[in-house]
Amino acid sequence: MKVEILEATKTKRMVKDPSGFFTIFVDKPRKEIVVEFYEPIHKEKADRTETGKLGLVVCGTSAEAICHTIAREELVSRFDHAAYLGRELQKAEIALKNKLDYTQDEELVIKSKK
Amino acid sequence: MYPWRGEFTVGSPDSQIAIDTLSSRIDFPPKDVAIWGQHKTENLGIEKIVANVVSNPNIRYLILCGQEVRGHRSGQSIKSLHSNGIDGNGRIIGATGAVPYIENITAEAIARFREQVELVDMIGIAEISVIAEKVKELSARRKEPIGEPIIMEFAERKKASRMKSLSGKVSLHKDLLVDPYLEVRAMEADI
Repeated sequence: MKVEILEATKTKRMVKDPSGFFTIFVDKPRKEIVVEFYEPIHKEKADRTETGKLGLVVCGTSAEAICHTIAREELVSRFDHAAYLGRELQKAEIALKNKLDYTQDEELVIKSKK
Repeated sequence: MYPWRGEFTVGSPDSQIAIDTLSSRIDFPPKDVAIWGQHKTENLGIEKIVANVVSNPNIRYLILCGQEVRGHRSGQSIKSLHSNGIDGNGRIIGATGAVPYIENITAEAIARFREQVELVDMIGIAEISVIAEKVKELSARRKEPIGEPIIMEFAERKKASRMKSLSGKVSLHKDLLVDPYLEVRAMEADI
Protein backbone atom coordinates (compact mmCIF):
# COMPACT_ATOMS: atom_id res chain seq x y z
CA MET A 1 0.00 0.00 0.00
CA LYS A 2 1.37 3.40 -0.92
CA VAL A 3 0.33 6.50 0.96
CA GLU A 4 1.41 9.95 -0.11
CA ILE A 5 3.02 12.40 2.28
CA LEU A 6 2.40 16.03 1.55
CA GLU A 7 4.25 18.96 3.08
CA ALA A 8 1.86 21.61 4.32
CA THR A 9 1.98 24.97 2.59
CA LYS A 10 -0.03 28.12 3.07
CA THR A 11 -2.32 29.36 0.36
CA LYS A 12 -1.00 32.69 -0.85
CA ARG A 13 -4.25 34.33 -1.81
CA MET A 14 -7.17 34.41 0.59
CA VAL A 15 -10.56 33.85 -1.02
CA LYS A 16 -13.38 35.57 0.80
CA ASP A 17 -16.32 33.47 1.90
CA PRO A 18 -19.40 34.64 -0.01
CA SER A 19 -21.53 33.70 3.02
CA GLY A 20 -20.01 36.45 5.14
CA PHE A 21 -17.37 37.20 7.73
CA PHE A 22 -16.94 37.12 11.50
CA THR A 23 -15.53 39.31 14.22
CA ILE A 24 -14.42 37.51 17.37
CA PHE A 25 -13.61 38.96 20.76
CA VAL A 26 -13.54 37.95 24.40
CA ASP A 27 -15.95 39.77 26.69
CA LYS A 28 -13.84 39.63 29.83
CA PRO A 29 -16.38 41.03 32.32
CA ARG A 30 -18.97 38.48 31.21
CA LYS A 31 -16.38 35.74 30.69
CA GLU A 32 -17.63 34.83 27.23
CA ILE A 33 -16.39 34.56 23.68
CA VAL A 34 -18.55 36.68 21.37
CA VAL A 35 -18.75 36.02 17.64
CA GLU A 36 -20.51 38.47 15.36
CA PHE A 37 -21.52 37.25 11.91
CA TYR A 38 -21.85 39.82 9.14
CA GLU A 39 -23.51 39.23 5.80
CA PRO A 40 -21.36 40.79 3.10
CA ILE A 41 -22.30 44.10 1.54
CA HIS A 42 -20.58 45.11 -1.65
CA LYS A 43 -19.89 48.77 -2.17
CA GLU A 44 -18.48 50.48 -5.24
CA LYS A 45 -16.66 47.44 -6.62
CA ALA A 46 -19.02 44.50 -6.93
CA ASP A 47 -16.30 41.86 -6.55
CA ARG A 48 -15.15 43.12 -3.16
CA THR A 49 -16.75 42.43 0.20
CA GLU A 50 -16.26 45.69 1.91
CA THR A 51 -18.51 45.85 4.92
CA GLY A 52 -21.34 43.84 6.40
CA LYS A 53 -24.79 43.71 7.90
CA LEU A 54 -24.82 42.23 11.38
CA GLY A 55 -26.81 39.01 11.04
CA LEU A 56 -26.25 36.99 14.19
CA VAL A 57 -24.31 37.06 17.45
CA VAL A 58 -23.14 33.74 18.90
CA CYS A 59 -21.76 33.69 22.46
CA GLY A 60 -20.34 30.97 24.62
CA THR A 61 -17.34 29.74 26.52
CA SER A 62 -16.48 26.72 24.39
CA ALA A 63 -14.84 26.95 20.96
CA GLU A 64 -16.33 23.58 20.13
CA ALA A 65 -19.90 24.66 20.93
CA ILE A 66 -19.49 27.90 18.99
CA CYS A 67 -18.09 25.99 15.99
CA HIS A 68 -21.02 23.58 16.11
CA THR A 69 -23.50 26.46 16.30
CA ILE A 70 -21.90 28.22 13.34
CA ALA A 71 -22.05 24.98 11.35
CA ARG A 72 -25.69 24.37 12.30
CA GLU A 73 -26.57 27.88 11.27
CA GLU A 74 -24.76 27.34 7.94
CA LEU A 75 -22.79 30.56 8.28
CA VAL A 76 -19.71 29.34 6.40
CA SER A 77 -19.45 27.99 2.87
CA ARG A 78 -15.71 27.45 2.49
CA PHE A 79 -13.57 24.81 4.18
CA ASP A 80 -10.65 27.22 4.64
CA HIS A 81 -12.98 29.68 6.36
CA ALA A 82 -14.30 26.97 8.69
CA ALA A 83 -10.73 25.91 9.52
CA TYR A 84 -9.77 29.55 10.19
CA LEU A 85 -12.71 29.96 12.57
CA GLY A 86 -11.75 26.80 14.43
CA ARG A 87 -8.22 28.11 14.95
CA GLU A 88 -9.35 31.56 16.06
CA LEU A 89 -12.03 30.24 18.41
CA GLN A 90 -9.62 27.83 20.07
CA LYS A 91 -7.22 30.74 20.63
CA ALA A 92 -10.10 32.76 22.11
CA GLU A 93 -11.03 29.88 24.44
CA ILE A 94 -7.42 29.52 25.64
CA ALA A 95 -7.30 33.28 26.25
CA LEU A 96 -10.59 33.21 28.16
CA LYS A 97 -9.55 30.29 30.37
CA ASN A 98 -6.11 31.71 31.09
CA LYS A 99 -7.01 35.41 31.38
CA LEU A 100 -4.88 36.33 28.36
CA ASP A 101 -5.48 39.07 25.84
CA TYR A 102 -7.07 37.85 22.61
CA THR A 103 -7.06 39.87 19.41
CA GLN A 104 -8.47 38.33 16.27
CA ASP A 105 -5.82 37.49 13.68
CA GLU A 106 -3.00 38.21 16.10
CA GLU A 107 -0.72 35.68 17.76
CA LEU A 108 -1.81 34.64 21.23
CA VAL A 109 0.85 35.75 23.70
CA ILE A 110 1.20 33.09 26.38
CA LYS A 111 3.09 34.27 29.41
CA SER A 112 5.42 31.54 30.60
CA LYS A 113 5.25 30.55 34.25
CA LYS A 114 8.44 31.36 36.15
CA MET B 1 -25.57 48.58 30.25
CA TYR B 2 -24.16 49.16 26.77
CA PRO B 3 -26.19 47.24 24.17
CA TRP B 4 -23.55 46.33 21.61
CA ARG B 5 -20.88 44.22 23.25
CA GLY B 6 -17.25 44.83 22.41
CA GLU B 7 -13.69 45.10 23.61
CA PHE B 8 -14.25 48.25 25.60
CA THR B 9 -14.02 48.99 29.30
CA VAL B 10 -16.93 50.43 31.24
CA GLY B 11 -16.28 52.97 33.97
CA SER B 12 -18.71 55.31 35.69
CA PRO B 13 -22.24 55.46 34.23
CA ASP B 14 -22.51 59.06 35.45
CA SER B 15 -19.39 60.30 33.67
CA GLN B 16 -20.02 62.44 30.62
CA ILE B 17 -16.82 61.39 28.87
CA ALA B 18 -16.16 58.55 26.43
CA ILE B 19 -12.68 57.94 25.04
CA ASP B 20 -11.74 56.37 21.72
CA THR B 21 -8.06 55.40 21.91
CA LEU B 22 -7.87 54.33 18.24
CA SER B 23 -4.97 51.87 17.79
CA SER B 24 -3.39 52.59 21.20
CA ARG B 25 -4.02 50.59 24.35
CA ILE B 26 -4.57 53.08 27.18
CA ASP B 27 -6.41 52.59 30.48
CA PHE B 28 -8.14 55.22 32.54
CA PRO B 29 -9.41 55.54 36.12
CA PRO B 30 -12.94 54.05 35.97
CA LYS B 31 -14.46 56.77 38.14
CA ASP B 32 -13.58 59.49 35.62
CA VAL B 33 -14.66 57.97 32.30
CA ALA B 34 -17.93 56.34 31.18
CA ILE B 35 -16.49 54.01 28.54
CA TRP B 36 -13.22 53.68 26.64
CA GLY B 37 -11.48 51.36 24.26
CA GLN B 38 -9.63 50.88 21.02
CA HIS B 39 -11.26 51.47 17.66
CA LYS B 40 -9.73 49.91 14.59
CA THR B 41 -12.18 50.10 11.71
CA GLU B 42 -13.84 52.93 9.86
CA ASN B 43 -17.15 51.07 9.51
CA LEU B 44 -18.07 48.43 12.11
CA GLY B 45 -15.95 50.06 14.81
CA ILE B 46 -17.63 53.41 14.34
CA GLU B 47 -21.07 51.80 14.34
CA LYS B 48 -20.37 50.16 17.69
CA ILE B 49 -19.19 53.45 19.21
CA VAL B 50 -22.25 55.33 17.98
CA ALA B 51 -24.69 52.63 19.14
CA ASN B 52 -23.20 52.56 22.63
CA VAL B 53 -22.78 56.32 23.02
CA VAL B 54 -26.42 57.05 22.16
CA SER B 55 -27.52 54.43 24.69
CA ASN B 56 -26.11 56.61 27.50
CA PRO B 57 -27.45 60.20 27.41
CA ASN B 58 -24.95 61.20 30.11
CA ILE B 59 -22.10 60.98 27.59
CA ARG B 60 -21.53 64.46 26.17
CA TYR B 61 -17.86 64.38 25.20
CA LEU B 62 -15.96 61.94 23.02
CA ILE B 63 -12.18 62.24 23.21
CA LEU B 64 -10.29 60.85 20.21
CA CYS B 65 -6.72 60.03 21.17
CA GLY B 66 -3.93 57.54 20.59
CA GLN B 67 -2.38 56.70 17.28
CA GLU B 68 -4.45 56.82 14.10
CA VAL B 69 -5.15 53.45 12.45
CA ARG B 70 -3.21 53.22 9.19
CA GLY B 71 -5.30 52.49 6.11
CA HIS B 72 -8.60 52.52 7.99
CA ARG B 73 -8.13 56.10 9.22
CA SER B 74 -10.73 55.38 11.88
CA GLY B 75 -10.17 58.64 13.75
CA GLN B 76 -10.52 60.79 10.67
CA SER B 77 -13.60 58.78 9.68
CA ILE B 78 -15.45 59.25 12.98
CA LYS B 79 -14.62 62.96 12.87
CA SER B 80 -16.11 63.09 9.37
CA LEU B 81 -19.24 61.27 10.52
CA HIS B 82 -19.66 63.76 13.33
CA SER B 83 -19.11 66.76 11.05
CA ASN B 84 -20.85 65.63 7.87
CA GLY B 85 -23.02 62.54 8.44
CA ILE B 86 -23.54 59.98 5.65
CA ASP B 87 -24.71 60.17 2.06
CA GLY B 88 -27.59 58.21 0.50
CA ASN B 89 -25.32 55.19 -0.03
CA GLY B 90 -24.27 55.00 3.62
CA ARG B 91 -20.84 56.48 2.94
CA ILE B 92 -19.41 58.80 5.57
CA ILE B 93 -19.07 62.14 3.82
CA GLY B 94 -15.47 63.27 3.70
CA ALA B 95 -14.01 60.11 5.26
CA THR B 96 -10.71 59.02 3.78
CA GLY B 97 -10.59 55.53 5.28
CA ALA B 98 -10.71 52.50 3.00
CA VAL B 99 -14.36 51.46 3.49
CA PRO B 100 -16.20 54.16 5.42
CA TYR B 101 -19.77 52.87 5.20
CA ILE B 102 -22.47 52.75 7.87
CA GLU B 103 -24.92 49.83 7.60
CA ASN B 104 -25.96 48.72 11.07
CA ILE B 105 -27.25 51.81 12.83
CA THR B 106 -30.21 54.02 12.12
CA ALA B 107 -30.26 57.55 10.78
CA GLU B 108 -31.84 58.54 14.09
CA ALA B 109 -28.84 57.17 16.00
CA ILE B 110 -26.39 58.99 13.72
CA ALA B 111 -28.26 62.29 14.09
CA ARG B 112 -28.41 61.86 17.85
CA PHE B 113 -24.68 61.01 18.05
CA ARG B 114 -23.80 64.16 16.15
CA GLU B 115 -25.95 66.26 18.45
CA GLN B 116 -25.10 64.43 21.67
CA VAL B 117 -21.33 64.56 21.83
CA GLU B 118 -18.71 67.21 21.42
CA LEU B 119 -15.63 65.67 19.81
CA VAL B 120 -12.29 66.48 21.37
CA ASP B 121 -9.52 65.82 18.86
CA MET B 122 -6.38 64.55 20.56
CA ILE B 123 -5.40 62.15 17.79
CA GLY B 124 -1.70 61.35 18.01
CA ILE B 125 -1.54 61.86 21.78
CA ALA B 126 -1.15 58.71 23.89
CA GLU B 127 0.36 60.10 27.10
CA ILE B 128 -2.14 59.30 29.81
CA SER B 129 -1.19 62.36 31.89
CA VAL B 130 -2.10 64.68 29.02
CA ILE B 131 -5.39 62.91 28.34
CA ALA B 132 -6.22 62.76 32.08
CA GLU B 133 -5.77 66.52 32.27
CA LYS B 134 -8.32 66.94 29.46
CA VAL B 135 -10.71 64.55 31.24
CA LYS B 136 -10.42 66.69 34.36
CA GLU B 137 -11.10 69.85 32.35
CA LEU B 138 -14.15 68.37 30.62
CA SER B 139 -15.52 66.94 33.87
CA ALA B 140 -15.65 70.47 35.21
CA ARG B 141 -17.67 71.60 32.17
CA ARG B 142 -20.88 69.78 33.08
CA LYS B 143 -23.60 69.43 30.48
CA GLU B 144 -27.11 68.16 31.04
CA PRO B 145 -27.93 64.60 29.85
CA ILE B 146 -29.55 64.58 26.42
CA GLY B 147 -33.01 63.06 26.04
CA GLU B 148 -33.82 59.39 26.33
CA PRO B 149 -31.44 56.52 25.55
CA ILE B 150 -31.55 55.08 22.04
CA ILE B 151 -31.07 51.36 22.44
CA MET B 152 -30.06 48.97 19.66
CA GLU B 153 -32.00 45.77 20.29
CA PHE B 154 -30.47 42.33 20.55
CA ALA B 155 -33.03 39.59 21.17
CA GLU B 156 -32.29 36.03 22.18
CA ARG B 157 -33.66 33.55 19.68
CA LYS B 158 -36.32 31.39 21.24
CA LYS B 159 -35.57 28.27 19.22
CA ALA B 160 -32.10 26.86 19.83
CA SER B 161 -31.48 26.24 16.16
CA ARG B 162 -33.04 26.84 12.81
CA MET B 163 -31.58 23.53 11.61
CA LYS B 164 -33.87 20.67 10.70
CA SER B 165 -33.39 17.30 12.39
CA LEU B 166 -30.31 15.54 11.12
CA SER B 167 -30.61 12.38 13.25
CA GLY B 168 -27.22 12.63 14.91
CA LYS B 169 -25.44 13.81 11.81
CA VAL B 170 -23.55 17.09 11.62
CA SER B 171 -23.87 19.56 8.79
CA LEU B 172 -20.58 20.89 7.45
CA HIS B 173 -22.18 22.77 4.64
CA LYS B 174 -25.69 23.42 3.48
CA ASP B 175 -25.38 20.59 0.96
CA LEU B 176 -23.18 18.13 2.89
CA LEU B 177 -23.66 15.90 5.92
CA VAL B 178 -21.14 13.94 7.93
CA ASP B 179 -22.43 11.07 10.05
CA PRO B 180 -20.78 9.79 13.28
CA TYR B 181 -18.58 7.48 11.18
CA LEU B 182 -17.29 10.51 9.25
CA GLU B 183 -18.87 9.50 6.00
CA VAL B 184 -19.73 12.58 4.02
CA ARG B 185 -22.62 12.64 1.62
CA ALA B 186 -24.86 15.13 -0.08
CA MET B 187 -27.78 16.31 2.01
CA GLU B 188 -31.05 14.76 0.96
CA ALA B 189 -33.80 17.03 -0.13
CA ASP B 190 -36.19 15.75 2.55
CA ILE B 191 -33.92 16.43 5.55
